[in-house]
Amino acid sequence: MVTRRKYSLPNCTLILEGLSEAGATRENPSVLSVLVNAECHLQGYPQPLGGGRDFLESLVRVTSRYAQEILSGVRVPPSEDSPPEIVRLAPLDNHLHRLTALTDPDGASLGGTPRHLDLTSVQLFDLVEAIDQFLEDSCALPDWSLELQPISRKEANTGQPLVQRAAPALLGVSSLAAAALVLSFLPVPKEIRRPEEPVPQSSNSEVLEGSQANAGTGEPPTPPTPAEPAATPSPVASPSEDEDKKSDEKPASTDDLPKTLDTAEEITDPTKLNTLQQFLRQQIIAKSDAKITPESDLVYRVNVGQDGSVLGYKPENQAAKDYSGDTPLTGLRYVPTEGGTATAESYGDFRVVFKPNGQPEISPWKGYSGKPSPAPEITDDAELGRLAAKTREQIYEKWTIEPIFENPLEFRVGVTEDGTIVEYSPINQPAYDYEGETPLAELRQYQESFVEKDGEIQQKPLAQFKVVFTPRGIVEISPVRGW
Amino acid sequence: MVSTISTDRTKPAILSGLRDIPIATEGCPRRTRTQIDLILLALEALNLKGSEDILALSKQLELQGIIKNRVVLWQLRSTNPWRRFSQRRPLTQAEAKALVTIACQLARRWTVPIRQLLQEYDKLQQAQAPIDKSPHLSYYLERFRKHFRSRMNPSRSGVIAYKADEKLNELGMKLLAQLLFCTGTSGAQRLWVSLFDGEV
Repeated sequence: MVTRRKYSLPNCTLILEGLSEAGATRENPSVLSVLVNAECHLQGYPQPLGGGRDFLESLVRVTSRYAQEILSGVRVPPSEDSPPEIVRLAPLDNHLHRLTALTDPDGASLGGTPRHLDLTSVQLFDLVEAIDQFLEDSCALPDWSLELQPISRKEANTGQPLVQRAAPALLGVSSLAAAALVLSFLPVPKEIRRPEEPVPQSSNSEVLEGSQANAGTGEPPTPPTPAEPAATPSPVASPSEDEDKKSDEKPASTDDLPKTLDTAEEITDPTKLNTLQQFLRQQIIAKSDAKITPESDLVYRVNVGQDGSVLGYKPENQAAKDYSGDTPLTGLRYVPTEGGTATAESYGDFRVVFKPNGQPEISPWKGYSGKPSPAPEITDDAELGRLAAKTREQIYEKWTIEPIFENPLEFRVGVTEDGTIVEYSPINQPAYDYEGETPLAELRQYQESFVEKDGEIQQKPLAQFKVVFTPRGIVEISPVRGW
Repeated sequence: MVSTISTDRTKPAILSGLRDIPIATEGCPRRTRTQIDLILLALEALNLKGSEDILALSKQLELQGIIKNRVVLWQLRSTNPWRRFSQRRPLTQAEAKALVTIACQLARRWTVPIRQLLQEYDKLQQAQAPIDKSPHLSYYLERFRKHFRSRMNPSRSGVIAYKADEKLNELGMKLLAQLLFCTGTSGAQRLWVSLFDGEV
């Protein structure tokens, strides 16, 4: 017997046609148990999408997954191993969602060529709801049900370069050491030396000056000097762990081990570390209004959560101890208002050195395990043209003083896609000398170069321009990579 | 503490549609906590007496074993690390389920305005017109920004990203679209599972 089920929403109607098997469903003979044809009518598109079981399965699977991505914001690119889907969904720039129905792999066509249907959020929701109503309906394909699974950490990461993780045993050691570190503002016995670092020291432990990590320069690593008191796991950690259990009753000033830090994962991925390093650098520079001028280097070990918050820090030499409280780090440490310490799911471990000349140097405590990917860059010509114009406009607006220099000043300027100047550096000597004559410092907004996505700090893509201020008051802008 | 209450009251039948998600950490991950609070914040921006509604629904759905009163509700929501007075306590899955269930019920109650606002937004987008052309949308977004700014800690890095009005508007619109997906037949299950994307 032929049976038809229809699910109508304002923007979407799903119609299933099939057969009901009398034997299997005696109590309710109208149950659609074998699907013959499925049709999906969407408002604004006269011709419906349609197909057999494969089409419906693909439609349900893909739409359901996409709805989940909208809810979580976690997108998973289709894996190469999975068979191609008949139906696809992808976001468009203008808040629309493109539903594509392809000819199926067997060559049977679904209404000819692939069809694109651009849906608004409300239309897409109606499609999802039609599917959900069908899945809830015990009179249609009762063996189908809504199967929802959270996207795994692994799947969610496939879009990014894989984290080069250290061996698990090593992670165990380092997270223990880090655990000890964060709580152990307790005095550390002087005679205890730093244990042999089990990590092969990276060949490109770098001290950041410019915005790019100059990985691969072959510079010797700068391992912690043996004279430094070290955070050692065993003797310090055990008593402190006991204290942690009572930590809830303690005032905010004590530095407790954040509860999750012993389970928190240390970030070893060079790109992520590099991003955190730059974020930390910018935070420190932004806080540097109270300039400290130490007579010797102040060395601190600083833990930064994946969202860029400073979880804790520890002076690593006597001078650092003396100055502790006077450095920008004090103001940066994130202290939850109700007391205790901030927690994070993963963290980066950094060495921060305040130099007598005032310039902080920041590098990963254990160096880099590989080369960080270069910062994402805007390369589209049209986009570069638009941003160049926007940058020029901003500069002219603020550059009101008569030029007093005689030679052109050349700068490299990094601009985000919304036209914000987030970094710049002088290229030639006059630019160094007359930097203050330009409005770049006033225009630059450090904090705009990062964005938090899913609790992680990420770098925004930048357009890199060469900006020249001429003595005649003209601003020339060109992309660093050329047009 | 919730754990001292008899198991029957902490496992109301209405939550049984949401299954436990196997996660390694004690309590819900950070993104889960933030997202639940933001969803509720968007609902409050839609409706003048949002927080009253949450408490009333908690009673109606017999979730009082979990959300006893206003203070507990505030504590649960303040497990969102972005909050000014962020709470250090964990958010258990049962507590999160209760909040998700309430949020989805409220969203369903507000299906019509949610759809209308999103349709107005689509029209403005197509006409490339600014949001303030729609008084309804402007009103929602203004309330959303106000709620967000008064409750979130502006020095948290996650919050810094929303300093500009436009960024907050984008977040408000994103949450509104997410609320729409909460209104459906399986909205609560969909929202619940999505909260753990990338966390298992």
